[in-house]
Amino acid sequence: MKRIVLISAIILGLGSCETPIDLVVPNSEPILIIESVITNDTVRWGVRLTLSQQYFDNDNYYVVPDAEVTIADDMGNTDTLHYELGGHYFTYDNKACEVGHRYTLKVVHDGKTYTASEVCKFQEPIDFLMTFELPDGNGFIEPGFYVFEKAGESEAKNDYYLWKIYRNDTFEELFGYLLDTDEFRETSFFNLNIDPDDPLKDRDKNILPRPFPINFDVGDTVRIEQYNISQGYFDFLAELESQLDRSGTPFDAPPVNPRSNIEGGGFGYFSVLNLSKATIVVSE
Amino acid sequence: MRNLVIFFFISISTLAFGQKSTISGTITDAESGEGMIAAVVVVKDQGMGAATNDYGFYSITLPNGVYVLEFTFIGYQTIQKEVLLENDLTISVELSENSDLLKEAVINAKRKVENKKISVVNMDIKTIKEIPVIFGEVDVLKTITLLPGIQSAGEGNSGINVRGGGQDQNLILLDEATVYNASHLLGFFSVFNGDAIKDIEVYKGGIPAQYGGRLASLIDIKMKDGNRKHFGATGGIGTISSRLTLEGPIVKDKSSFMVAGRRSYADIFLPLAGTDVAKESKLYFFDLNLKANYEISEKDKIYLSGYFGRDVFGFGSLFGVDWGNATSTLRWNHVFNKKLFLNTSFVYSDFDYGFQFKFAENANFGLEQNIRDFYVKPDFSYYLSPNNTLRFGGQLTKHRFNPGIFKALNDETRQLFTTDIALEQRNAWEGAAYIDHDYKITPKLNVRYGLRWSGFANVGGTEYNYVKNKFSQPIDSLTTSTTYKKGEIYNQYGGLEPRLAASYNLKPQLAVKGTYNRTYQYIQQASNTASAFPTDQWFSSNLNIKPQIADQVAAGLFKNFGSDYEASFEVYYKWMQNQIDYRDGAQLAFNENLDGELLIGDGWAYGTEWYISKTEGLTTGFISYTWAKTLRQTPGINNGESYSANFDIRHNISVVLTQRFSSRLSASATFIFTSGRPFTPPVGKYFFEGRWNAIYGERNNYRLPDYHRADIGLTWRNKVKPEKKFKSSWNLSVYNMYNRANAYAIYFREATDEDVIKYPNINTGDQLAIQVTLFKIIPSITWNFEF
Repeated sequence: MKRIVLISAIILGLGSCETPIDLVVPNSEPILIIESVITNDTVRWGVRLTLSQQYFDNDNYYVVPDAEVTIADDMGNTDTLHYELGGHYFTYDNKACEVGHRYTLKVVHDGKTYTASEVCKFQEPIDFLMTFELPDGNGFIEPGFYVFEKAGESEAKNDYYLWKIYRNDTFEELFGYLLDTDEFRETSFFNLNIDPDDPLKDRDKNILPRPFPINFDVGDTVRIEQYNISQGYFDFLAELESQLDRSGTPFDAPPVNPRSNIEGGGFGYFSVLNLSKATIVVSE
Repeated sequence: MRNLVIFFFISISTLAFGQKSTISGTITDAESGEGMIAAVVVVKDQGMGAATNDYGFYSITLPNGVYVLEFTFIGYQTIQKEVLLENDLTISVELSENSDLLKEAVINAKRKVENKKISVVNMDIKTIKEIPVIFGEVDVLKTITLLPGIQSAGEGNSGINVRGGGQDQNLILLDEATVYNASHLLGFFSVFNGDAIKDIEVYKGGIPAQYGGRLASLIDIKMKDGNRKHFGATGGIGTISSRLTLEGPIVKDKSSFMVAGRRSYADIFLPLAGTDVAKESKLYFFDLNLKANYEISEKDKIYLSGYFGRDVFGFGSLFGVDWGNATSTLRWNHVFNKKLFLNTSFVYSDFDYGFQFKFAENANFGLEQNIRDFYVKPDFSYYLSPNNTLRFGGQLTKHRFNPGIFKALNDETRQLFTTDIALEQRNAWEGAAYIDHDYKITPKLNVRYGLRWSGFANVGGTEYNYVKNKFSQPIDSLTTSTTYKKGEIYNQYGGLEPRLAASYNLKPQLAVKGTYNRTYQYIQQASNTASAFPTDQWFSSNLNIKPQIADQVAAGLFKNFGSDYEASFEVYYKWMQNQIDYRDGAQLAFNENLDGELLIGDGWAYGTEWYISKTEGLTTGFISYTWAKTLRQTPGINNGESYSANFDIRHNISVVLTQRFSSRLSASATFIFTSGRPFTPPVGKYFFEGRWNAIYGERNNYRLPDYHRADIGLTWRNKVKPEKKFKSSWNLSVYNMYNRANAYAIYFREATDEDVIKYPNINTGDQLAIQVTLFKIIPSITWNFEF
């Protein structure tokens, strides 16, 4: 919608043009950026600390190697993370969050304290993954090999989900995050009513299981990671993404910073996620 | 308030009683028979006079005696009549246009300093037609933004901002009918066909009590009635569109009609364009103005006017958007007696807009929305004496809002998508009653004061319940809702809107004026962007949304120099309550919980406006300068600190010059400078999720580069053959003649490989600011004719 005006101008042959310009924008003070995701998967917990920089500063990001970083749970345990490289701090041991417990990140840097906390939520595991080949003539889904999942929805509403898709252990970049919620209706990727013995039986009625939006090749090993995330993280990711598609025209909504859960003046997000994953090899 | 009522009765009671009679009648154009608006009747040597109303009617009551009356209008020959007044008289006159030679010698009554209304600007359609515009497409809305206090919402946009008001805070009336969307082609042009328009007047303040419903301004546009004397046609073939207007008598001297049509044809050339995008796209507009009038008797006249316009934009077969206004007005003029005049308007106005999406043959959907008004508006004028005119009346409007129906557009889709999804229609009543007294207390002092009561009622339907925060902003929608019966009034608002304008002549050619007005607004457009899209939906006040209220004071100094020059200076301050803004990431389209996306705050605007014009002679033109500031403060935005409104433009200069070289050749030139409009650039960036993300600072804390351009136009009239009525002319114009690359927008992105190849100083991964320029130099040519 935003680009319609520009398209109109092009159609009218007005020679609308785009040129890089030198612009001196107001500068902000460096802000501590906290990026951390911990899950119920047993791995070393990590936190990355960097500093924001001027918009037209083309140097690489500035890392913060000298902060005190801890993660505490509500059962009296506190882990201190140590610095390794590139702004990354890690725990010494592998750790996993426990469902229903709250985890609090604390960072002390340059005399300031930053905190953030989230609860590890529950989710049903993925029941199974299936693949199918879709011939031509299925609306706006291109023909090809697809993967879909069957998963169970918890009874409580207001669950928020994020999916990450890996093909042969490589993360698949999509046009935006794969997010969904059961706030208003069933989570459509869950394919709750699918018949596992004959998932395509209603294809004549143009009813298909909802596949993940990637056209795979036969032989691909596909790993689906499904995260139950907090509403805050859901909103944060959606807002982060909405800032990427700005055209700058008067038809843009005002830009906003994504709502971070870091208290104390930092940006970024500390998220505690429940992960459920499954793998399948795409076959004919 | 009580003082106002007392003042009113005192001023009415000061009318002298004695043997008096009334002269009334109409002043019409001798050539076309159309009623003339604001033509003046002067009672010579008495310092008294009266002006005609919108229908050319005047009435003046004087003690019996002998008088010399002068009937005048700008650019027309004055007629003098000597009358012996013993009984009521009807005197209707026809005025003829001045020949060019006589034009300079006339000192016109309309230009007298005391007859200039404070905070009101108008431009006659002839001037508008001479000022160069983009593609040579005469555009009344774009051209009036050259006047002080009226700000264009930007290039490629027909929205206007008046004294710090939003685009949806202007009441745009076309023959009394509300025009909800005045833009064609997404705003490149306005919907008003210059050939069909008779007069445009903009009230930036001092809005008479007769009008209300919008905070910032009244833009009153009147269509031509049609020639009552003989048949005629005007038209033109332009770069973007062609137009044809036909007019003539239905019954000679009793009734006439006017039909004006216009269609753009940029799309006809699209298949010639090289790109596939252009080949597959649709982009056109058309509009039709219709008007007819009939004089039933000397006391009764009816006028029927209609407008119908449509815009269609299609991007291949995949996506389409279209919108259009349809209005019709039936007006009945009735003269009860020589002093009491009534016009009753019955109005229908509809604005509908929609989208179509086609993902596949079996996935073809459409979204349809509209707003529809019916209203009746009786307006009485009571001409008590030459110095006293009383106006009173009211308005009752039924609004119907249709926030959207999402439906399948073909059978294949309907098989899968069997039920339309419709958001509930909303209904409301809006009513008003007013009284207004125009009183010339002494020859030097004139006051026009009035009181308007307006009210609003939501009728029937479902209201969702919300949790409200400490600022009374509805935040979280609850799952509960309350349903009200059809026709049940469940929520009401109302208020008094005092209006005052006063003028005092310090010297014959120097006047000081002041005005105050309060305005209420009950309906608005949900737009979260600097420019509203035609498809942004209209919604009303309700349990959660209070009406917007504005108070404005303005003062001004008006001075004429000799017979040629006029100057004015005005200063204004405006307070606005219950201004609507939107929470971050608000979802405004097709959302039944729209109230939860709103943030309510306050606004204020102030500024000064300077204007000097030369109205007579071979060289005419004007210079206008506006200095203005418009701020908003909304809890939940910008940490509660005040911020510049999207249309907060500090300096705005327009220079317009028209030079007549001969009876066949004239030229005009304009220069426009406005300081850059505010925007919110990133003030920093951070690396997160494997990429760079922007950090934004305060809202609208930075400005686009200043905007300026010059346009020129040349009009060459072909020789008129003796005995032939056919006249034609060529109009050549050059928009942005020095090819300035003005910033339409600036956006930010990472350098692409293409940038690196094109610009030697740019490296891969650099962050860039990209300026988008819409219009560079654009020449155009139009051929106009009339017979």
